[in-house]
Amino acid sequence: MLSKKDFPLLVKNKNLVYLDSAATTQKPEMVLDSILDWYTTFNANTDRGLYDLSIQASNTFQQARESIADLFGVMPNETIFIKNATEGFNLLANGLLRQLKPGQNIVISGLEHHSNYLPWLNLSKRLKLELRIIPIKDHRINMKIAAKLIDSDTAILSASHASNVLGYLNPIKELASLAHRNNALVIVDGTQVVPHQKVYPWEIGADAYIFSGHKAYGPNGSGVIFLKESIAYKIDPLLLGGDMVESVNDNVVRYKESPYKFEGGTQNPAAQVGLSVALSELCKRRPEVIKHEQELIKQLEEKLTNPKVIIHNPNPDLPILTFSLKALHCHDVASLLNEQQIAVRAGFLCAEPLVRQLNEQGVVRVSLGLYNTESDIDKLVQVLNEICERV
Amino acid sequence: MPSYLTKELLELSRSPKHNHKIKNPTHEMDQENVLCGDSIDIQLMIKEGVITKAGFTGAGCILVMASGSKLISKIINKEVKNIDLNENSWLESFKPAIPVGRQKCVLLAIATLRQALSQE
Repeated sequence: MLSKKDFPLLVKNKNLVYLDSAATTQKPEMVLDSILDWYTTFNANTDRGLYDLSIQASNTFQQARESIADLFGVMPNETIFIKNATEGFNLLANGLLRQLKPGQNIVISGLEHHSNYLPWLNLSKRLKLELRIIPIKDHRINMKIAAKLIDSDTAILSASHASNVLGYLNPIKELASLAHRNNALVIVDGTQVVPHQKVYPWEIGADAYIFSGHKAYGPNGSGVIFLKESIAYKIDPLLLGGDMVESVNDNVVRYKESPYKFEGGTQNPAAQVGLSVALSELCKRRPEVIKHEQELIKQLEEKLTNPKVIIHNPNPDLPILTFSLKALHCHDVASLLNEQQIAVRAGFLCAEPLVRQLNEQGVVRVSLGLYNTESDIDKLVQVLNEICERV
Repeated sequence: MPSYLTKELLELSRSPKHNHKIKNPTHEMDQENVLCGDSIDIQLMIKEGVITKAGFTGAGCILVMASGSKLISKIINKEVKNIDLNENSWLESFKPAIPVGRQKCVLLAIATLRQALSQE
């Protein structure tokens, strides 16, 4: 299995305990090598040049698309490259604008990251549509209320596969079933799940499945929307310009088919090729990665027994543990951990409505990656206990 | 490396001085740190150019509360024209140094005071 020795940043910073992988993962050497390889072997603008180098670049870029599509059980033309999940949600929210009619509603859950909240809030305000938010009960989506909120006027259901704060898998199949019964489109934010679980988006009922690559060991600027071929034609592109058109004649523009119509302008092939390398390796190692991460998060929860620590998400499905200290603001906890070279996230975690329900002043989040070890967990617990003694 | 979380700061945040509203303030301002939602409200009574009474209320981390407490203690009975509103001086008054990522917490109080004093 990949381990710390395969991650140059962690090799360089031997004392760093990196526990913020839900924000971004560190990058393995093979991904960094692939970026260098792109720029030293293939670099040319893709899908434009008629010369050999550009053709090789286009082929390599297309192979990355095919490889990622294959790992998730979708078609290459259903695999749209984006720079991050925020771009993905904005692309879909803007692209669906012309499909929506007065009186329709959009449904999201109360667990959402801002990237799957603000685009829908903005769209609903622009079109004067109702944005319905499924409330949370015991930190889970309240399915009874979901069944009432998703109705025949629902045009879109957009929900996270798992929250970036709580790390519980959401019942996407059940939600998708409710939505499809009402002919609504199902969009799923898979950003937190892809690094930790095998996913087949169409099997869980998604019509579109979005994730950021940088949280799955890929480079920054990489990411994907899987979008069903049967729906893609209804969605307008967000970025208009280079490379996304078949022809332009005066006022008549013919867009390319998906995925190319959604990839306006020069792309970032080095990042997406790097993502395909990361995901291929991750999928090869999937069973051992899941076992390793599950063992570590269980250990953390078992060892974090200090009564001053309040755990907000016991028994998470993903390796994410969110907590507060009774006597200390979350930013102070994070700063004190940083003094001992422990990196965690603290605050509202880009999910302010949800976090305010847990603690008005924010929370501390520990999120693991495949490179974390038992000694990372022990150091965190030891330092947290020391902090608890001081306050 | 010594921690920024000194006993003095911890004590000030637990039992901040001047952590109350004052009656009939001549100047008042509240501000929020948009990055984290921490907030502070400063009230002043200024007579003939002198701050005769001051208090603050707020919600936030140790640094926000301790900084508010220290600042109000420092300005009571001072002439407004002699108050140092320089951010760097205020930061330097905290030893050990405050980590860069947390300096906004310390500066919230002085930024709010500057706004309060800029009112006519």
